[in-house]
Formats: sequence, C-alpha cells, structure tokens
Amino acid sequence: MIVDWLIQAGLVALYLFLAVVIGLLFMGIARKVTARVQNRVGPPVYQNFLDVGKLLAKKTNIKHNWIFDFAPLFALAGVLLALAYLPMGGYKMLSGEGDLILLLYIMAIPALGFALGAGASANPNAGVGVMRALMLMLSYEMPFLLVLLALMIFYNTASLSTLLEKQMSFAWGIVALPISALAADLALQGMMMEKPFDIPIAPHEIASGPLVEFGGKYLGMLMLYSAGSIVLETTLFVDLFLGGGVVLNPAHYGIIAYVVNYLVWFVFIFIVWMIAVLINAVFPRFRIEQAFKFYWKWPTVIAILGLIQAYIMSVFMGVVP
Amino acid sequence: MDALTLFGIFILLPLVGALLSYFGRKYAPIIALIFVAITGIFLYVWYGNFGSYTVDIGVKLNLTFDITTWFFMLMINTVIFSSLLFAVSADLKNAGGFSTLMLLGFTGANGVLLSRDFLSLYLFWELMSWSVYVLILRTSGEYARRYLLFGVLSAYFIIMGIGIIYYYTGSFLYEDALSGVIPYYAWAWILVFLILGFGVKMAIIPLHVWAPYAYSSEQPFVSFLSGGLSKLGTFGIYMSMYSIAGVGILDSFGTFRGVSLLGYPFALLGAITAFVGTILAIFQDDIRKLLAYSSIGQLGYVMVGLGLGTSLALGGALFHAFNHAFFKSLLFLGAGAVIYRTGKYKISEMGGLGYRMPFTFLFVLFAIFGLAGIPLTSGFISKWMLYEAAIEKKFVIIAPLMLIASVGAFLYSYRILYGIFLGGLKEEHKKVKEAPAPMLAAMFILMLPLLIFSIVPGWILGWINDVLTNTGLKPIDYTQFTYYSSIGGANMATFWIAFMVLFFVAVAIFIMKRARVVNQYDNYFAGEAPSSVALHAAHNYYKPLKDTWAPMLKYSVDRAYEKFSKFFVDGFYEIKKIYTGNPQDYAAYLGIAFLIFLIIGWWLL
Repeated sequence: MIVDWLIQAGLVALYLFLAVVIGLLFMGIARKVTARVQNRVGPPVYQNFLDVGKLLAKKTNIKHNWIFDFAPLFALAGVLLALAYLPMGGYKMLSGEGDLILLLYIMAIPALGFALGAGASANPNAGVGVMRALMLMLSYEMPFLLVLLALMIFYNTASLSTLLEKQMSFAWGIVALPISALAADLALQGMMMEKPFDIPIAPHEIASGPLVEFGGKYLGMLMLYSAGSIVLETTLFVDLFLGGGVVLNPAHYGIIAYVVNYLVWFVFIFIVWMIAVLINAVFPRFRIEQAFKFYWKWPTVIAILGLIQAYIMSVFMGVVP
Repeated sequence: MDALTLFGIFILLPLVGALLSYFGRKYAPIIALIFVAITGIFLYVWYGNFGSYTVDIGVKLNLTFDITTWFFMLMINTVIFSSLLFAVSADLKNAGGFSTLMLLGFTGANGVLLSRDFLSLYLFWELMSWSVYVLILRTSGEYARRYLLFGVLSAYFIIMGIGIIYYYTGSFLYEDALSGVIPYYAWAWILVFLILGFGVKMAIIPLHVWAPYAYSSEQPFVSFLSGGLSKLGTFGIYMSMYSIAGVGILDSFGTFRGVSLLGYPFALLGAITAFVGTILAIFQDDIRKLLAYSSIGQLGYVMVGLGLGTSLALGGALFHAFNHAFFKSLLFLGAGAVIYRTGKYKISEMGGLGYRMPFTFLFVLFAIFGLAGIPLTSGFISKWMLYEAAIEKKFVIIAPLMLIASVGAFLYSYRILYGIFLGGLKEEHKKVKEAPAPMLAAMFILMLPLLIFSIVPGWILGWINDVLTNTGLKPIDYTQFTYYSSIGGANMATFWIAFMVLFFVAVAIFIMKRARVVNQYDNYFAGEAPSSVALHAAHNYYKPLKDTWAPMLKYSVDRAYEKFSKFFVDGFYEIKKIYTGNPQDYAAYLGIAFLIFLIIGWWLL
C-alpha cells in the first residue's frame, strides 16, 4: 500500500521534472529555430538551462516587499499542479481526480500569482503588462472556451481521462472536429503569448512588462514557470485533439505502451510548439485592441462553426462516441 | 417549540433589539450585535428541530422553520453579524438609527424566510424593503428614490402574483396553491410576476438599475444588502418556482431537454446578466460601483441555476448564493475599511495600500479568489456546478456566456487588487494604518466558510441536499470531499494535498537564497534615472478594452429608463402649457370643445 503510493508519487515527480526539462529544452530550440529563420546563428540549444542555473545561483536577490514573493511561489506551484492534472503521454497522474473545468481554473492560479507579484512593484510597466495580459486572456478565452464546449458536448464528458479513452475508441478530436481544432490552435498562439500576441511582455515597448522588476531567483523560478507552461499548453492541445498521443493501449501492452506513448506525445507537442514558433518568427506584434478584435472576430467565428458542427452531430445526428 | 416561540425569537427579539439600540448612542451597534448573536445561537441550537405551525387569526397564517429557512437564515445572520461588528468601529453618524434600521431589515428578512403564507410574506417583505429605503436615504435622497421606484415595482409584481393565486384559491397558504384549482395559463402569469418581483431584489437585468446607486451607500449596510438581503430574492424565486408551483407545474409548460420552457428564458436572462454585469464592472473606477456591477453579474449566475432547475443547477445556485453572501460582503467590508482609512473611493486615487493594510489585503485577496472561482475557495465549486449543469444539458448559449463572464471577473478582480492594494504607494498614504480590530474580525469571520467549504465541500453540500430533498427534488451526487455531475467530477482532498505538496516544492526552491528588500521606488527605468517617479498605472486601467467596447457601451438600460421618464415629464410639461391663466383662452377651449362635441354628436346621430 505505502510502497505503491510511494512509487506513484515518485512517478508523478519524475513526470513533472521531465515536463519542466522539456519546457526548457523547447525554449532553447525555439531560440535556435527563430535565429535560423531570421538568418542569425542563435544561442546553443542548452542555453536556457545555463540561464536558469545562473539565475537560481545568484547571490544578490532583490525584492520590493512581501507580496513580491507571491509571484514565484504561486507561479511555480500552480503550473506544476496544472501539469499534474494533465495526462502526459497517456499517463494519468491526477486527471481522474478532477475534470477539464477544474484544470481550466487551476491554470488561472499561476497567472494570478504572477500578476500579484508583478503588481507589487511600483513600476508602471508591470501594471500595464498585466493589464495587457488579462485583456489578451479575455480575447483568446472566447474562442478557446467555445472549442472546449464543442468537445465537451460532442464527447459528452468533461473529464480529461474519459476524453482520452473516447478519442482512442472513436476518433481523435482533430478528425471528428477539425474546425474546432483550427480555432484552438489560433487561440493557443495567444495563450502561449507568441507573436503576433506577445503584447503583454513586449520587450521593446514596456521592458518585458510583468517581468520587469524580477531578477535572480525570482526570474529563475519564473523561467521554470514559463517552461512548465509551454508544456502545459501544448499538451492541452494534444490531449484535446490528438488523443494525448496515445497510440498503444496500456491495458494490452503494459510498460511498452507508456514508453511509446510518451515518445509519440513528445513528437506531437514538439510539432504544436514548432507551429507556434514558426509563426512567431515571421510576424510583427499586434496592438492589444487589435488582438482583442481579431480574437473576438475570426477565431470566434471559426469556433462557433465548430460548435455548430459538434452540436449537429451530437444532438441531431445522434453520434455517440 | 411552537409558533409563538419561533415568532418570539426570530421576529420579536430583533424588534426589541431595534428599539433598544436606537437609544444606544455610540454603543448602538454593540447592542444590536448582542441581539443578532442571540438569534444566531438559537439558529445553532435549533438545527434539526424543525416544524411547521399554522395559526388561524381569521385568515390562516403559517410559520415554518425548516432546512431551507435555516440555510438562508445562516447566511443572513452571519452577514449581518459581521456587518454590525464592522459598524462598531466605523464611526457612523447617528449609529443608533443605523442599528435600528439594520435590525428592522433583519426582522423583515427573518419573517420572509419563516412565513409560508402570502400575507405575512408581503408584510415582512415591505418591512425589509422600507428599512432598506431609509438606510439608503441616510446617504442620498437621489439613490433612495431610484431604489424606491424599483422596490415599489417589485412589490406590485409580487402583489399581482399573490392576487391571482388568492382569486383562485381564496387562501393565503403556500400549500393551498397546489390544490389544483389554478389553471395552468394563470400559473404562467403568477410565476412571471413572482419571479420578476423577487428578481428586482436580485438585480436581474433589466431590473438592475437601482443597484449601482443603492450599493454606493454606507459599506456596513451595503455588505448586508448585497450579501444578505439580495438572497431573499433567491429564496423567493426558489420557493415560488419549486415549492409553491413545483416541478409538475413548471414542466406542464413544455420542456426543452428536461428544462421547463418557463425556466429557460430566465436562465438565459441570468446568463446575459452575468455577462453584462461583468463587462460593465470592468470599466468602473469607483470601487463601490465596480462591486455593485460585480454583484449583479454574480447573482446572474444564481439566476441561471434557478432557471435551469435540475438538481445540480439548483444546488449550484444555492451554493453560489451562499458563497456570494460571504465573498461579496467581505469585499464590501474590505472596500469600507479602505474608504474609512483613506476617505477615497476612486480606485485610481489609491494604490500600494496592501503594504500598509496587509490583513485587509489578505482578506480581500481571499474574497477575490472566491469571486474569480479559484479552486482554493468554495467559490469554485458552486461555479463548477452551474457550468456542468448547463454543459451536461448541452445549452450552447448559456454555458459560453457564463464561462466568458468568469474570465471577465479576473479582469475586474485584478483592477481592485492592483488599483487599491498593489502598485506605487502614494505620498499622502504613507501614514495610513491597518483597519481597526473589529473590522478585521468581521472580515475574518466572513473568510472562514469560503476556506472550510473548499476543503470539505461535503458539509455544505449535505445541507443543500437536505434543502433540495425537503422541496421534493432529486438529491445531488457528492461525498465528503468530492462532487460529481453526469459528465465529470472533482476531488477537493486530492487537490488540496497536491497543492500543498507542490507549494512546498516551490518554497524549497525559493528559500535556498535570501532576498534583500529595497525601496519600492527603486525601479528599472531603462537607464533613465528620474529623481522621484510615483506612477501608478491604475487610471483608466482597461482603456484599450473600453475603446473596443465603446460602440456597445453606447446602449444603456439606465439611460433607456431615463429617456422613458423624460418623455413623460416633457409630455406633461407640454400639457401643462394649456393652463395659460388667461380667461379668454379657457373660453376658446370651451368653444372648441363644444364644436367638437357638436360635430361628433351630429355624426353619431
């Protein structure tokens, strides 16, 4: 009993650790790829590991007040918690213990903690940055929530693990609901704050916005947070539309299935991340009101079309996955 | 226990308290507090000791103390207790009058909750409504008039509903309404009138216009009005739809996926209210108005649950009403503490107060977690129940409106946090002290249920389940730590353990290195070194969003009402011009009238 429990806890820790490592690796790959697209050499792929190590080892750490500490604590804890609720490569850590709507709200914990810490400095850039981040959130959540709704009414479940099972037995989300998948990918670009939606952190306008006053271990932990959130957001897309990368049923193939599924999942999130990075590499930046108008116009229309498709298939045609 | 004891403890005792506290001078809130505490103790002792008592005094009246009454009394009792505790140190002018009126409102609320006949319901409703009117009058006659207009409208609606029932049954008792003599088309009128009448108290769009004004009065009172008394609207709608009429009558209007066609429009109205209230709250700079619109939006969620009428939806509605009672009262008290210390109520004029008032900040932060539905508070669970209730029935208009409104809630929540408590501390606020101890105690009391019921939702879901089964509805699906819908579920014990463990992981990484505290204004300014920069970016915070919404914000229900009233005022002004005061004109009118009558008479004959 206790041993089983310890093995479980160890596995969860391993998966969470790997997620953060993959996130840092992806950040490095993104820098390299962007540099090659823009005809530069770029830093080595492992650069972000060095950065985090340096920042966490710094002797001088500066804060303005105690509310400042909320940012790294809530951001890192929140993103790890959200990752724990997300099936990665078919491995269900806690996803049986809560559903998609719980996950949606857990994803708000790191963002809110980060916003609190950022606001605690007197730097107006931070306040403006958080305002932009929240507005961007209101923008991309509109299509994204419609997409989630389409999935939930089509597969008739709000539970992520059931969603994976139903995708495995029926059809992947991207096959069943391709229109919603398109809208979700558009929303994902804003969720990951890649160009043209890197408005909240716009380095040339507002000096990295919410990050402006953080340094040393604060910045290091926030880098771990953003590494985790890259994996979180790409995995969310893969879990929703690509069956979570589950190609072999663990019930039949045992441990091999977990390894193969993990590798497939890794390839899938890499592809989703690369799409975002390649768009990021060639686009300029929107203004925030342009981003808002864009999201509430085209992705929302696409998401509504996807919702109509899901509604017709589920309610009128009686398709039951 | 009999009817007289019940009446004595919950009605007469607060009335005596109201009388005594009027002469209490500055100790009046404390006297009122004692009386509220006594009724609270009886509420605790009498849990489970329920009963229904019919009294015949020419007409049959009924007082009932059951789990529904108990559940709502629990909210209202706690909220008024903390409001009065807050008022102890709030230095109100004429504190005696304030406490008296608060206790009168409390008496009215208790009466509304206890009565199971329309006559006493109406009398206590009016007692509550008028004491609220006078309490708003203490701040501004203009605000009070706006409230009065809608209060009277509400009373008219309710009395019309009651009138139709009495016309058919000849009895004021709730239970007699179901005796089968009322035809179903009359039920439609009765329910629409009653829902609209109680909906005024819940500030459902388009009946919300009074709320932003009324909620700008004194904070201890507003916290009671928004947290406590608005739940009487919830209670009224819940009783009239599911107890007086019942599911059978509701379903006789036809159903749409198991939801009554009479309930569905109100659920849609609730979702629209949630959306519009939230969007309007985002653009407010006055903290009181922001909280007022937020309150409108949150009660929209409750209305969605009441309209949908499945067990999950009703459980969510009752739970959300309960949560709203606590977090919104807490927010109003927090705003009151800040206003008490700074004398300002514009968000952009404050800033940085979180470092001077840390406890107020933490309490308000917790309330905001509840408001935004972060799973660390019970605010999440009630919202979850409402979402899943809409999603499991595949309602594709109600669900997205609710979901996007809750994203909007993050925006105005952060406006409160950043504008008031974070950001640069102003020079004039450097000497601001923490709020007095009674205020902090009041806020602490309100914070506790939000935390406790997030860890152990089974306790409150047990009460809600009792309320539902007592009304004759299906039970909800829950255990001590988990709750389920037909499409999902969540376990709060796992959530809390996982959160705690991962939080300690973060803390472990965090405390490896020590951090040094520097002056708050020692900021990065891209190489520029201004001698003193005190910028607080809170002015017109969501301007880009406001610009984008400008074409929509042109339309306003508030202004529509004003135009409507202006039309009549102008029209009557024109009519008034007939009275010129010149006898020759009057003679001419006579002649013209005579001619008209002559022509008409000639034509008729």
